[in-house]
Amino acid sequence: MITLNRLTRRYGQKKVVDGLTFEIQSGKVTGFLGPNGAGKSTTLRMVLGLDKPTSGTALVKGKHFAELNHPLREVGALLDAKAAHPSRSARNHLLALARGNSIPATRVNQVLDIVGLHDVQHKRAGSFSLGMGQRLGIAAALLGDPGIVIFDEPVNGLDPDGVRWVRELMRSLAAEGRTVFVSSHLMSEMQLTADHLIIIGRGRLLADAPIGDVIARNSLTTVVVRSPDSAKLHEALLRHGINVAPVNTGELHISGTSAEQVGDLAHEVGARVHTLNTQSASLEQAYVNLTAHSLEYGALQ
Amino acid sequence: MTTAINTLSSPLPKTSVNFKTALASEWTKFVSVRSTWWSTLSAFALMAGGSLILAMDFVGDLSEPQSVQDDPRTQIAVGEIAGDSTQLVQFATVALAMMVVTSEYSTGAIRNTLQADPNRTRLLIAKTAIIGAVTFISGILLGLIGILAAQAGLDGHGIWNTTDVTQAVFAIATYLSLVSMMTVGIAMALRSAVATLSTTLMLLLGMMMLLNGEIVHYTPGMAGSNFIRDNTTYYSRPAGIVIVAVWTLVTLGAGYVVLKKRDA
Repeated sequence: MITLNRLTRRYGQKKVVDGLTFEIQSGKVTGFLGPNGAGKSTTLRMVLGLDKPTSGTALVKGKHFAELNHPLREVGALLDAKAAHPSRSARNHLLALARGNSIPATRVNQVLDIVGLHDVQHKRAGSFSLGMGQRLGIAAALLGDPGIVIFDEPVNGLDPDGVRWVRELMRSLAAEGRTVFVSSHLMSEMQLTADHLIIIGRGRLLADAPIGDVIARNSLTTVVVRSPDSAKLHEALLRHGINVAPVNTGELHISGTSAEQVGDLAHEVGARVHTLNTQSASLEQAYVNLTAHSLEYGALQ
Repeated sequence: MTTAINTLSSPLPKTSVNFKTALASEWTKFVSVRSTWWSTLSAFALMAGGSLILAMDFVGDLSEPQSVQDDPRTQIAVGEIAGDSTQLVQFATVALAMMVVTSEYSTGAIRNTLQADPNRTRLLIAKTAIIGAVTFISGILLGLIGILAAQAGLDGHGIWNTTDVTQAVFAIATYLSLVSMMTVGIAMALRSAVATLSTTLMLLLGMMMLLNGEIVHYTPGMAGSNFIRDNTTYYSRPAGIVIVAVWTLVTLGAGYVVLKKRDA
């Protein structure tokens, strides 16, 4: 479990991370979303004790990262796929990390098998493609069989097979009861893997909720009606204080209501209806709505 | 396809990450990159070649009237020749020590290192201990190669006194070991290879060339040279190595402060 309490990081006057408070639960994949420069990586680095918070705390299992007795056995993290010495072999890269945490060399073989780098383990990390680098980073994260895994953009550079593999990996890690915290800019990816979402913009928390709630709450479901009597219906809707956006002749997009209510109302006023359906927003839309709001808010300041 | 995450079967060790695990990790990293072997090899080549050339140069100068007037000696201690080559060899040592630190920052591997063991004090000590010990041991071999090459090149003009030779070998090893640790300190403070190399060059060589008068003997390069050559004009022999050690401690202190305070 990861706990942030009013975590803040300032660079000069700029607050890159601004009072973040949230908890990452175990047994779930928690997605960490935000536009570029929102403070995701800085937050992750503070959780891992690499960067110092200006104020507030980031705790792992109730402890500061530096107080963990066997860090790799408690937290595994992939921050940067290229973070290996280019002339060191993949195996030796993992071996050095393993020895630092009293992890036996047999485990290095295991993780090399898990990520599919067994055959290239003696090759220099510098000769690896970005995708292989990601796999090496994931191998390092799994080395200590940790209860908490943190991945920063894990699918970057992976081919479709690799993407599917990472997705399944994250799901199975969570199913084993581990805490999985994944940052990504790929909303579609999060929609497929995450159970819970933390969204930040300009260092501030925008949302912390189950993925379904985030979508429901931040993007009103739209009812789409096509009617030759749209003017009549439009008027009736306005009378009921319902928000309507006429798209083009005969088509209305209505938010803040249900298809049932719109259908009943059309019946009441005698408007013919040719199409009546609801469009539920994707995570992408929910995310755009949320972060656009944060940017507006920022600009107004 | 489901992904099976094999679990780590070995139980957690009773002891937490400690100095021993930090040393094991650093050692594995140290021996698993080619640059370690290349810079070690070049140190040996520089020492053998440098001593041989300096020795032959001394012999050659014996037939030059002007040179004889400058230095009337017809014999020279082999240790002095090896000591002078050390001024060149030390840059291979600097390169080796520098890469132990700067490669971690340039690749971002430092973040892996600190995730495995977030204790930064321990990291600095482990890195310093390994490079210092390795350089001391290779320094002894370098010293031996240096005096052997000098002896060969001097062609009968070398003074071979077992006590002096032994002292010279240990002096070379001690000096190089301190230089390597000094470099670790500078690299930890500056993080970039270029900045580290230029600062170390400045400390070891630049100050020696730019400064005038007695103060020059308090620069690490000159103090080390006085120590190796047993030049006691300005201070005793042990004082020479103490000066180098003080410089080393100062740079390690600077490296420690930066490592502790700055984000990784």
